[in-house]
Amino acid sequence: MPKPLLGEQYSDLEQQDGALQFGMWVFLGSELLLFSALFALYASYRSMYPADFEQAIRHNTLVYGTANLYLLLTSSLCAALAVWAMRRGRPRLTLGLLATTIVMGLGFLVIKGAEYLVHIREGALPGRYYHWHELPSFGANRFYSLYWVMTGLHALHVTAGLCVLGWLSLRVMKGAYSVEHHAGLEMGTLYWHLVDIVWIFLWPLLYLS
Amino acid sequence: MTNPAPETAPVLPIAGDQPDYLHWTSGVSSWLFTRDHKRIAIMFYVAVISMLGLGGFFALALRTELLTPGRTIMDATTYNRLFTLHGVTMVWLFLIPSIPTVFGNFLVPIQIGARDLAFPRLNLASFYIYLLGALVTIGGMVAGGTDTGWTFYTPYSDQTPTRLVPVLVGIFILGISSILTGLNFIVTIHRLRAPGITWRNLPLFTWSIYATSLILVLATPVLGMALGLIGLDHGLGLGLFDPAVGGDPVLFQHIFWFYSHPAVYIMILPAMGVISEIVPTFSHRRPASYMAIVVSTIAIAFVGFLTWGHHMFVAGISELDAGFFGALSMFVAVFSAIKVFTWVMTLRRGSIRFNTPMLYFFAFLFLFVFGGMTGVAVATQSLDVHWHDTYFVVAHFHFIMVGGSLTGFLAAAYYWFPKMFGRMYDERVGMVGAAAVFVGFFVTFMPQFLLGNMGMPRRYYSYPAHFQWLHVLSTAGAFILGSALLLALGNLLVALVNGKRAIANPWHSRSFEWLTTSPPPKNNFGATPNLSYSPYDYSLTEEQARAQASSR
Amino acid sequence: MSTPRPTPLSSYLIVYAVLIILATMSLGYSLLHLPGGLVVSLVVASVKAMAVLWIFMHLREQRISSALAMLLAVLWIALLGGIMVTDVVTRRTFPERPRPTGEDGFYQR
Repeated sequence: MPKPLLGEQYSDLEQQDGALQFGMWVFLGSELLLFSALFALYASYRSMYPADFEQAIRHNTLVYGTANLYLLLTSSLCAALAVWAMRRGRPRLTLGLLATTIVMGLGFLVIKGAEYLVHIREGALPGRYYHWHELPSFGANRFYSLYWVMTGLHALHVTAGLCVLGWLSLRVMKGAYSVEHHAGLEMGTLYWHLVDIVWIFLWPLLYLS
Repeated sequence: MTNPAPETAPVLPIAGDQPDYLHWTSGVSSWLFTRDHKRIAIMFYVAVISMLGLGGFFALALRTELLTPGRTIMDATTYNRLFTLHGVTMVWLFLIPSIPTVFGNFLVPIQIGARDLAFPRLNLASFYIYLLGALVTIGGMVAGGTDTGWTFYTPYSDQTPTRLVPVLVGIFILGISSILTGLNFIVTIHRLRAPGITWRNLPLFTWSIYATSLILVLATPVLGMALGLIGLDHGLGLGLFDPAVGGDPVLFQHIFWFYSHPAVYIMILPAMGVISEIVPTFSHRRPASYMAIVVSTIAIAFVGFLTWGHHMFVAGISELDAGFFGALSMFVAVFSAIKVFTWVMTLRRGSIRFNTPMLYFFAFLFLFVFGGMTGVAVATQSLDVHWHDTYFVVAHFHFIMVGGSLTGFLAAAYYWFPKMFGRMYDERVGMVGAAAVFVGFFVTFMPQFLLGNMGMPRRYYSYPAHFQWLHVLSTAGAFILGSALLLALGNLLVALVNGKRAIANPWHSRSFEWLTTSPPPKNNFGATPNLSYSPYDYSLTEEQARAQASSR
Repeated sequence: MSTPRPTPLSSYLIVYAVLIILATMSLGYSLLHLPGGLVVSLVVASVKAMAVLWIFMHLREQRISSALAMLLAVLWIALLGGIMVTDVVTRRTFPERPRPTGEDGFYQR
């Protein structure tokens, strides 16, 4: 198994792995803050139009959103177990678990796409394009504007996460990670968990009344 | 490298005798693809100085136009575009990256005894992302004729006929560069400190870069989102902030200033860090209180996040929020005052030497205190109603950004010039330059306080004739300032070629970066130094400090 | 530095079970339209997020600084949202609310 390269600024691999992981956590924190403006806008518009929001949520596609929640939670478990398997020295199991995660992530996007089609048919589009006559209120307009932007940004993150997982699978196939040193694998799956966490919060905000 | 100075101590064992970072390899590609933080810093240096020149050129064009109440050299549309160009270039292409990417990049690893930043490739990527962002931003502004000002306030940004999306994309890219730079510094300062360096003897400049990096990482994503939403509104016509479909434009201002107010501290904190290094060195004395400077640095970084609403007093925010923001804004003044008093106390009984960096410190001290005090004034709601969106505010923030940040940048450029390039600059020309910068600056912006108080609104193309003499004065000052900057930078350029060779520690400082040779070797130190003493401990002689650093 | 023992398989499975149960409970609470639905569902979401962070993402094995990065991010989101909401709910505008909808019961475009 090839040893990972040690950068000359580090004294040993442990320091390098630690720095990489800490860097990833700082990056994740920064990534969460990308969503902060949207959460803040959601809170503001919801307190501006509380009743309209309640109503809009009740008309939202709960089944799709909930199915996606269970899917992402399960995929998160698979991603975590992929690292666990690598720690146990079972890279083939890691590969299988990563593949399962990817399949679930793709499933998420498919369900999301179907859900978007429903909204497009209803006319529940963002901002000035909104024309759902069943819910003609300002608040419903705000809700669906934010719905599109928030889930859209999240879907972008899912896509990015899938790319990361695909890349990790390639690395695992090449045997780049070992029992002791698999910081890259750990970091890549962290990103996927973040995607999961964001959905854990989007789900109650967008689907639960 | 020969060294003629008699007081030269023998070269540090920890410095080794490797070739310096400028010479260990040569060729264009050894620069373009380098991962050495020092070379990347030099590339950033060239880039941000070019941006300063560009932004300065736009400023001079604006000031020339304002010489007469009517048309002088350009029409109103061009004027509107030009002040947007000036603002965006100066804020995102010069001030935000300036000190962190140049001096932070060069010095933070050396000050903590590391061989490089934690992620050298990321550092290089950050540089190219910056270049790409700069190209897209400037190209977008010039081709698209953006005229919203650097704040992109909706509803105007929603409706402007000019093209906005390329500029927003460009600034978004610059934001990625900022985040990567900040992340790199945070991880480096946490994980790569040499043995002996703790949070209690970390050099003050490194502390300020650390605080700045926290802001970069925490605030920049919010800017990215704010620009993204404005882009969706302008590009796709979504109307996320459009009242006609239930939106609220004030919410955009909240999100925008959540980044852009802390951004002021991204600009000023590094300058304060530079000053905190220069004052002990040229007073030959430890800071009156190391802890006071550290605590106020961190406090400014955090309180800076709680004051953004003072930009919105007249935008229609609630009285409760306005009161809250007004009160918290005062805390920034308190912590800044702690710094100012600590610097002044450090001078007391020090053996002060008046070199160019020290002269810039005095300019900084005066301009920053002046700018800060007017900041307290405009953060007072009742006064802000009168001064909001006038030249008073313009003068106030230029006192902080130019008087504070740019002066800090020049101070750093002179102070660390011997370390970075291994040569000495001409002291007399340097001092003339510093004095001229101060005079030029003061003549430019002092009249603007008066203009603002008389009611001259910012960003206006024309004005009543009785304001003209103040505008003429301000324009004259701008040209003095422009020439002074050329002199100050030209002096360094000349020294780059003709300067005397610098010794390792020409200022007899105890700070860690002066332990290694000037310019430093590729790995900064021959062997990892042992830095268990204070970088401001002037009770140690230079030899004792060196011996301690070399001890195992 | 002393790292805690690597997370055992059982922890992952227990956390997964807890996540699924919590999600289902939250769903049920919402479907019953009980009072305080938003607060309850957000508290449950926070618990779920912490479980993912702590076990799945191995925050328990990390140094405290990594957890601080997350904590700061969460605090900052709360700060931005909190102050914006305070502004919106305590603001007095004239007219009190945005323009009413048009004659067709639909907002003007």
